[in-house]
Amino acid sequence: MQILGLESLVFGAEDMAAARTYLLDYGLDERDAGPAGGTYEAADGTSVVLRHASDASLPPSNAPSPNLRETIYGVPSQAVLEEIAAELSKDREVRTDTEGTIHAVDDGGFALGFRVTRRRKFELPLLRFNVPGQSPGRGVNECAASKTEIIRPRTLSHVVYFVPDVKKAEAFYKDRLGFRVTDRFIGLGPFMRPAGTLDHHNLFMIQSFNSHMVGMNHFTFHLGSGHEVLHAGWRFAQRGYKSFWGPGRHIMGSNYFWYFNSPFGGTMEFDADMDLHDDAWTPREMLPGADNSQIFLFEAKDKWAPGE
Amino acid sequence: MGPRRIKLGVLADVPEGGAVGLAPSGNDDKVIALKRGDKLFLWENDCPHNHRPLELKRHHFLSPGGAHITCFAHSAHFSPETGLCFAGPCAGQSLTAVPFSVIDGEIWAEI
Repeated sequence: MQILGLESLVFGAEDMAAARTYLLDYGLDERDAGPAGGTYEAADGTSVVLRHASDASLPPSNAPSPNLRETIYGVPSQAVLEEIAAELSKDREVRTDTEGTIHAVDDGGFALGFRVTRRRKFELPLLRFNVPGQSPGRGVNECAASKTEIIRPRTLSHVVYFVPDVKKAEAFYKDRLGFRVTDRFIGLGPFMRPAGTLDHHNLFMIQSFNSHMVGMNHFTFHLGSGHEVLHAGWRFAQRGYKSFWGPGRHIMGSNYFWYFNSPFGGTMEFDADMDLHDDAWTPREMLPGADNSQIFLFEAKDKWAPGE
Repeated sequence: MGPRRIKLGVLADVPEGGAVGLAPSGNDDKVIALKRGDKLFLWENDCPHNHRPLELKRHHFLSPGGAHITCFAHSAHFSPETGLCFAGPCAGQSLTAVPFSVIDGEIWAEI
């Protein structure tokens, strides 16, 4: 089942003004903004859809608001969409909306959607690096460091759920939708990718240990590089947003990360340079905890120079 | 010898019904100050869930409408008056109170 990856995350927010400003400050492009909310796109058109938590058109919430209300995946064709609808219809309601997106609920209680992908091809300036021993990445006299650099989220990367029964949730995505497990935190849960992407994970699920660990844990878009994570995160912190964790680099997935508090019920991350895997990969298992969660971790501090 | 005192700010800078961060250290304000009626409340800016600062942005500690302290990491909600987390991942736990005195309109933490 060739699911390509995340297409859109739909949030029910309480503080619409703060949520809108947050998404714009993160670097997403606003589309279709109005009293009901808006759509906030990365370069390839993958998006966050912002709605008020009380919006009756949203699927029911499985966590206190604000929180994630629906996760929409992209598929390559109508045929795959029909294949998914046929599979899920075996044991649950599947609804098709006027745009052709199909909607259901997974075995962890999260609302799911699938649509023929609307991702766009995009062109952004090539990211190039000068590395001794390799051909120069940048041209002679071309400078890398720029205070006015434009950094754009490129594509929706991954979402992380708290789930009541992680084995059941994993089985649903693996057996019903063809997701692969790439790695696993022992006792917590699996990193999973749909068959149509090589990205280390589009979905990570965490076993809930109490009735309050519900809904979304975090989500993120891919930026272009580790440098972009550092620079975009630095700018975000300068705007006053509160760092939750990072900057650092994860081990499982190898993605650079920087997490910030958000108005969406969980944290929002800046992410870049994730590993790719195919079916030749043997999933790793690691104990959770600080040492296995990152290969290094830093914390931002104010600018400084010798003599000051 | 009595408790040592550190000046955190002035009472007039804490808005009625609002909240501000005090005691900046590095990137973080270490104390949340709230005024409700004629009462001042000071809490450590440290969520019992992951022991990280609570705010969305600097001084943005409250839920829409201002009724509750919110941790914007994972949506824990706290009473401004008691510090008790009544909803979210650390429900039943509490923020830690900061002992203080108000002297001539100045807020002094007692440590």
